[in-house]
Amino acid sequence: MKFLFLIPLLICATSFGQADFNNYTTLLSEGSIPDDFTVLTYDKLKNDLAEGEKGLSRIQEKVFFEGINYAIDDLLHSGYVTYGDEISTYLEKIADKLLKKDKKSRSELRFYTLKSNSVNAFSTEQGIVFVTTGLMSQVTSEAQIAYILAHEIAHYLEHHVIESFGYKTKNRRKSIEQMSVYSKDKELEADMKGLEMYKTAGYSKDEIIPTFDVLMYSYLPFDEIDISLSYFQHSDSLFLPSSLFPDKKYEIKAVEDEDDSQSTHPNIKNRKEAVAGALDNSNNWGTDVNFQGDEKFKYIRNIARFEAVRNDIIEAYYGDAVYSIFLLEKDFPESMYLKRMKAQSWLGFLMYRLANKISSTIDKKSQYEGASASVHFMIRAMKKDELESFATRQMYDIYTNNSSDTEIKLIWEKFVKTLVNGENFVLSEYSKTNYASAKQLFESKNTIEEIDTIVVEEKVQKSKYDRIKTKTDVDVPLNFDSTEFRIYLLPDVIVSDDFNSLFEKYKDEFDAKKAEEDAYDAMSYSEQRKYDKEEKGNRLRLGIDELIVVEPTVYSYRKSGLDRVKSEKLEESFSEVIEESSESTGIKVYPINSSQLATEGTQSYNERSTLLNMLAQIGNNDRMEPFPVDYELLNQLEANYGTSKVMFSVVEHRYDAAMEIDALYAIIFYPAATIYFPLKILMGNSTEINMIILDTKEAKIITGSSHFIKDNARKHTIGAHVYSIFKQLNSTK
Amino acid sequence: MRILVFISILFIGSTVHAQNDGLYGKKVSLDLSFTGNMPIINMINGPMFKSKSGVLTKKMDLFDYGVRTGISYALSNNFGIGFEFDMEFMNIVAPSYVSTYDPTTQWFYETQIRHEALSTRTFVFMPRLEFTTSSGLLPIGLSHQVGIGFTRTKIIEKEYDYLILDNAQSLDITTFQEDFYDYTNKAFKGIALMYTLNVRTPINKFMMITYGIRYNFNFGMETAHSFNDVSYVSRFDAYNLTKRRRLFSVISLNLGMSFAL
Repeated sequence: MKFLFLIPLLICATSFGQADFNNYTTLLSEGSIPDDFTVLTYDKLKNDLAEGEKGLSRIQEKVFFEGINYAIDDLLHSGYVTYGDEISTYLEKIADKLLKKDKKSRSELRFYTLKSNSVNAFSTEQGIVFVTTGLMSQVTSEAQIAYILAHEIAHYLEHHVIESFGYKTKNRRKSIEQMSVYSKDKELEADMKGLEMYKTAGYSKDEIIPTFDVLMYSYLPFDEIDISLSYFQHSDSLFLPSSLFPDKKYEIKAVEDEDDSQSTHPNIKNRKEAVAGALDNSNNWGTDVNFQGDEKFKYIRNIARFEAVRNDIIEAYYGDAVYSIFLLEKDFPESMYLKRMKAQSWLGFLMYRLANKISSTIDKKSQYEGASASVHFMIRAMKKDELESFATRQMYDIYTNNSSDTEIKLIWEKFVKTLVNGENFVLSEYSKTNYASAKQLFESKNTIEEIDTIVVEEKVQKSKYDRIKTKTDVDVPLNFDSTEFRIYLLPDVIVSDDFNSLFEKYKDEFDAKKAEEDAYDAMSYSEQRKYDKEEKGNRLRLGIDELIVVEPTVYSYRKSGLDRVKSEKLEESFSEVIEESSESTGIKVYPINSSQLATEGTQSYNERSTLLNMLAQIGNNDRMEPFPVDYELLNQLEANYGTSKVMFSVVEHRYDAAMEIDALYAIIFYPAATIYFPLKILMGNSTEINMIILDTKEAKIITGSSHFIKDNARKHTIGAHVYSIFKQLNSTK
Repeated sequence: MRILVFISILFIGSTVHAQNDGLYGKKVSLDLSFTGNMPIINMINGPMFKSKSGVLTKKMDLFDYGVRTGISYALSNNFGIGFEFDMEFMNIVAPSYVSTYDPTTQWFYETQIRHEALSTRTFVFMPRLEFTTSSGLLPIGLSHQVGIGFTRTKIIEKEYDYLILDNAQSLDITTFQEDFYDYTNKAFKGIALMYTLNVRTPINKFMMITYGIRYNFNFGMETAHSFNDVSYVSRFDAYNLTKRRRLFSVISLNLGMSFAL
């Protein structure tokens, strides 16, 4: 009893540090940084090769370890992997339970979370197990995760990855079907070994078969709840025609016994049957379902579900994002994060619709399945101006209900700017009354007109101008048609001072830009060339004196493909010359490099991930300018470094002095050979240095440069070009 | 020539305001390289005689060499001007017949002679233009160089070995002891046009390895000659031999170091 007073304190202590879903920020790595992230890849490669006997020839070992180390490290440094975070820690605890009796294996294994909506988990020969947030968002118990982890651990313990490589190398002539049989055998073996581990850990027998259901329906969103049109009607006066929503339910087509003859995994039916057989033959099962607690499981799963929304936004898959937000709002109706993501989704829909690319943000018709299909159907069903009006309605409602939120305010401003720049939104087309009022007005007016028709016709004939004015007054429609619902969607928006002042501001900016373009069009060819040259010369002159520089990426190709070791070494050299060049050009550079993570630590890793995710978001939104999904984190980053300008760079080098049929002609016409061959040899090197500067404030590429040089990618060759770029960046127009 | 100067000024004028960054800010480069070529076309003249310890042996002329120094200034990232001073060494095959005068018969005889190849030294003074593609960055990387300059070629004064053969092909060192060539003659002047595809690869912040291939076009400038000079290698002969030798030395390679200043 005397300890009762400790309970509130303990609750506070245990809830401290937990995600606040109302003000959610993406999952970040925590704690000390593991060696997997800090050791250079070629050092890992050297270590693996030094370990020796793996049942492969020396060349095969080199191919295998080079391929796998670089592939895994690419993933580890992609910005999508987190360590020490709540999901990873949760997984580690499950692994502790699974390998309670095998301390050695447990000490070898590391568990990381991969931010991806694909439902997957995989282990590597090095002992890393990746689990996606997509998988975590779909499962219904800790035990299901445990079974999947046990399966992956079994792959690791049995060395299935390297064995499969050896098998494929030795049996290149075998058909896909034969390869598939081998691979499926390994999967079933991992299922069985995993089952033993799972049972020994004391997890419940009843959770195994449902795990396969999770896998079977993993391509659907994380829940299956009907969504109706009313979800989008925030007030009774908002009319949306029922034709916008499908009049049927789209069936879910997944089957257990799909053809797996060419698949790496057996189909669900075969896996279920194999496991069921083993279950029948064993007794004394444990009962653990959520060993770490029901609340903890739900909490972890919710993190994964919030990440699912974020992943959809990054990938510009707004249809799924809206549906996932709908699902999460049931439990988190006040979540500001969801509201922000919803605002970003509507901004995304608007951008893509205006660019006539809406199809890339939603499912194809053939992919419509389950409840989420309604959202995809609705977005596809709307014409350009309908979706434009509808998105404005949705965005305006989010904004007016949350106008104090800086992020939502900025999204709203970007939305209005996009609306103006789209040149499709005509303010005068919209009615100042809502649909119901307009309909009532129309009906009452027609009734009055019917009564008064004879009187009016007898007294005063309407002039041509009266008729024109009547026609253009959208508030008093001549015809009333529900297909014109869009013009009644924004009665409060178009009279709002806030909207109108923003609209005018961006309209003025747009008109000024348009006037500039017109002036350019009116120039003579030589004037245009002169103008273009000046513009090109000024493109990099931004007066930048501080810059965050994310490590450069180098691809150095040899004849047989990418030379990863050379590429990695060049990356180090490239990073060095960036720092050296910055010193002599007066730009203060803040490097964020994976090679410095050992000293810089987890904060640097998280910053790097945030920036890479922003880059991915921009890359996924081809030629669009999305609002940054991690706006708050980017703001923090800007506050830490004092600049919002970030540089990303990629260098590609290849040597290709390939002699083709023209070489023969050069030999036949000997004098030509004296020019042809030297040119071919000396000009065989080609190096491309690409650099972009992003502004984190707007998640926008503010400038870029591409240097294509006929020279080798040596440290100081690149360095001299970097110096030149920095010098320009430091100067002003 | 005036047109060339005019074009150069236009070219320079269009680039002086352009970006000009050089190698880490250094725009002047000092080149020092060795140049060499295999005079393949000249091999059709047949082997030449080389002397080793006084013994003349037939050898193919396999290699010409020289030293090239130059200085360049990058006016912009893509355009530069420069000047070079080269010293080139070549061998020319001496004529295989010599006219000998027999005072007793008062007759000139054409007698076979084996004469050591004549060595020449040529100085080249050449202003040059250097340019790259739009993303180039002079002085580094691959560049195109064009130049037009003046050459001065002289036959190197030394004791050449020779053998005069009698008509019966038996070896016989005759009493013919005159100098075969008047070394006090002025050097031959000529014009050289060149195009070079050159690469400068930086190895640190101020040193570069430079290498490339050069196409030379050498023309003689002399026209006057004397028919009274009947010596074995008259000035006219020497001029013609040199001119032809240089004309056919079209391609050469160079390798050296450049220093960014």
